[in-house]
Amino acid sequence: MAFKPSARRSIKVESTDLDLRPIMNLMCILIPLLLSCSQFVKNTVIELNLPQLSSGPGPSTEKPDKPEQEKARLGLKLVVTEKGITIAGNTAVLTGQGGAGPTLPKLADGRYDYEGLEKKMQDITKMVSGKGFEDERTVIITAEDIIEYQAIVSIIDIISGAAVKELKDPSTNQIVKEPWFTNIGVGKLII
Amino acid sequence: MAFKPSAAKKHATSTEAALNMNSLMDMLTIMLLFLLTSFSTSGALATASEGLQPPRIVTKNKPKKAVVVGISKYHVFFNKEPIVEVEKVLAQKNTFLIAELAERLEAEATKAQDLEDRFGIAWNRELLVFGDKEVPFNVLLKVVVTCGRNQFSNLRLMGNLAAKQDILQ
Repeated sequence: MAFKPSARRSIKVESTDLDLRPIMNLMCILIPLLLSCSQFVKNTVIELNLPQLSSGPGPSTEKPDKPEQEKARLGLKLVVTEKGITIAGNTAVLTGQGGAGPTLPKLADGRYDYEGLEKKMQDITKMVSGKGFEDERTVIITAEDIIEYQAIVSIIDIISGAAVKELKDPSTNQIVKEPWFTNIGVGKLII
Repeated sequence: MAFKPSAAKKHATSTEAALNMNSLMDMLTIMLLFLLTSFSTSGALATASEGLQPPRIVTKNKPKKAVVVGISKYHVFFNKEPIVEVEKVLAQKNTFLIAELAERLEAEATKAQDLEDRFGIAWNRELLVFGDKEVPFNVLLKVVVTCGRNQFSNLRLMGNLAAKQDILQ
């Protein structure tokens, strides 16, 4: 008995186009989803110097042959409290408008007076420039325990952008501008 | 006089035209890949979450990859791993050092120092502090002091880049 011819012989091969519509649908959902989820923010950093826990060098037993001439120290400090920002140096404290309270009281809407701080720092840099202070480019920021991180960061931001120092590059003889306050630190004021 | 019937219309045959989506597919694939890669790179350093909203910073400085100490509203993190609760840190009264963080930093410093000694991989003592904008100064100071005492002297505070007007307003 002869075999029955295979049914496969009658199958016709048809070429069909790839149906891209499901993939397109998926793409159309994925792209708006990713765009809506993404936050277009850029990360940035500010440098911070470490606080010094000690108030100064301890008593030294060695006496130098030639006593070095000590440079004057400015000791610029910013004290951030709930009432505002107080600017102080080693010898003086800048008081507010009424002769009392913080140098820059909080504004009526509860924000710190960042614009006022910028102007004060510019005035201070003009006053101390060329006076030979050893620490003229140093600021220590201290605050009450409850002061928020954003306020501290904004103050550091304002200080570092307040004034610039022009330095001459010895190799190229070009003037290079850099922030005046390069040494900004945080610390705890122990009274 | 009657108009002559249009020869073109009379003999026109309707042909079915398929929409060619190849170019559109190419464009969408490129967009998708771009978005996916931008997601993966931005999440490499630190990821903002509900309890960790970074502060706004005006100064433009590109962050480098380094050891990250995070401070959320509830926990202090070391490289994304929670190590101590913020409440516990706040309760510490007589010391500026956070013992749990100090332990991790010491181990990390030892490892980095060992790599530098054995293979010459430079250790720049950099550390990124990624804190929530509402973290109290007390906690920040304790974290900073702990980092400094454990050989991480190059500290950077990380935040989101903002315009100066956003801070002043």
